[in-house]
Amino acid sequence: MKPLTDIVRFIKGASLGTREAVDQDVLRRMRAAYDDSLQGRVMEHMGRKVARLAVAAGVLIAVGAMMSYVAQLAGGNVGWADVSRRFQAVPYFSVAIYMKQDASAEPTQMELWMSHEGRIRLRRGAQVVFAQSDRVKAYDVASGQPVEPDGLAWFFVEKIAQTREFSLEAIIEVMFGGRTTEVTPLINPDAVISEDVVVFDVEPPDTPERVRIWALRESRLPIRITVWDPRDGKSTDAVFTYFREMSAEFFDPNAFETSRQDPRVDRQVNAVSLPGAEI
Amino acid sequence: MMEDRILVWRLNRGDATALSRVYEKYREDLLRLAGSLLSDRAAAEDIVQDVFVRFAGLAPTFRLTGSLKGFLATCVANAARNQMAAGRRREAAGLDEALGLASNAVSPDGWAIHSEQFTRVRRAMAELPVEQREVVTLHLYGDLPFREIAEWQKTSIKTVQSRYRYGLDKLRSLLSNEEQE
Repeated sequence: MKPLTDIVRFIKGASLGTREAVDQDVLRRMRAAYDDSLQGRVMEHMGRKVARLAVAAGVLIAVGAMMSYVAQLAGGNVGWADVSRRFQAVPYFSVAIYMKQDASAEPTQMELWMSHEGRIRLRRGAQVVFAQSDRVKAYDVASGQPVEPDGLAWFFVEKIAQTREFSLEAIIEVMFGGRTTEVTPLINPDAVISEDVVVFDVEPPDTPERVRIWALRESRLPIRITVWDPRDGKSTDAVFTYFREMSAEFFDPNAFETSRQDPRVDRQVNAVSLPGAEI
Repeated sequence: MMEDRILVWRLNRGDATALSRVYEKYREDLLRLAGSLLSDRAAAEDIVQDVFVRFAGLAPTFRLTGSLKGFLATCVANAARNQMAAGRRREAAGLDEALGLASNAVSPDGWAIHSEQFTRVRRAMAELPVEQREVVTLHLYGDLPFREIAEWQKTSIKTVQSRYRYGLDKLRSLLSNEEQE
């Protein structure tokens, strides 16, 4: 007679397969139920704002994932801790994000500025959104009037509240957990166009989407990250800029509100000056 | 666990692509769980599909307090219990015969493709008392700890552990005898 451990192994090892056509049907029904529920939630709570949050969260997921990949690729002869410390040592950075729904679609754009203390300024559509800690304020750019904050700002506030700081570790912890070690970015020598730029490709095992990362060899900082889906050409591009200094007013919603009354002050508060930018 | 928290976090934020990962991750175990609990294969598959679809509907506001697999497994087990109760009611009323329903009436293009090993396990499971079958399948295919199974069965952990032990003993005997034959 078999020992009990063998019986457990036998039961657990008894596998079954599934028919793909039914799998597709179940997934389609799941997606429909999910979309209906999400739509109901949007109608109930935040109108179209939550739908934007979903899109924005998706974009940030991609950016977060890409940044973690960059941190890994920056390894080579530099450890992960060095990359992480280096990223955190950058006091300010901005990201211009371009999204395309398919290869021929018109790209949509947003811009994000952030300090590593967690101050955020986001420009998206007709809104500029400020966030720090649990305070979020949004304004219509044209009128300067307060409006309901964009869902993306809520996303960041929530994230910062969870992690207390913006770091690559936080992104990895939230987005990938242990899975980050499963995917290794590989240098693609064919894509290198300059000695001081390193190009890495990542092919995640669980999705056909591909990631390409351009990083500066010496500083290990990412300058561009692209995620694209070869099936339809859907893509998200993130272009990074790093800053040594930015005025406190730039992240201050009150300063923005008052600056709209005076064009001279407006220029001082809202201009992002490239001199002093550091890469 | 970490991956499940991330998946739920993504679903809360409108990332529908996480659905397929949840599905892919737990499909087989839930099918084995339902298939072991119920003698009617088609009903077992319907239950698993229904649990996945209902979970998708909950996903935008779902709050994960324990294990996602445990949650889904408990949903399947609850639905299987309801199904068994409904079957007993139909049987008492003689409705199965009247409606032409037959146990194990699996359409040739059903969902799950059972291996020979799973077919043997399933057949042996059908010989167990329901309570023992629930404990064994929830523990082995749903990864539910005895404490949670005890709460679900509204009994003590010791009783659950006994049911598990007796259940395995009987399965061992049934499967060994089958091999000898």
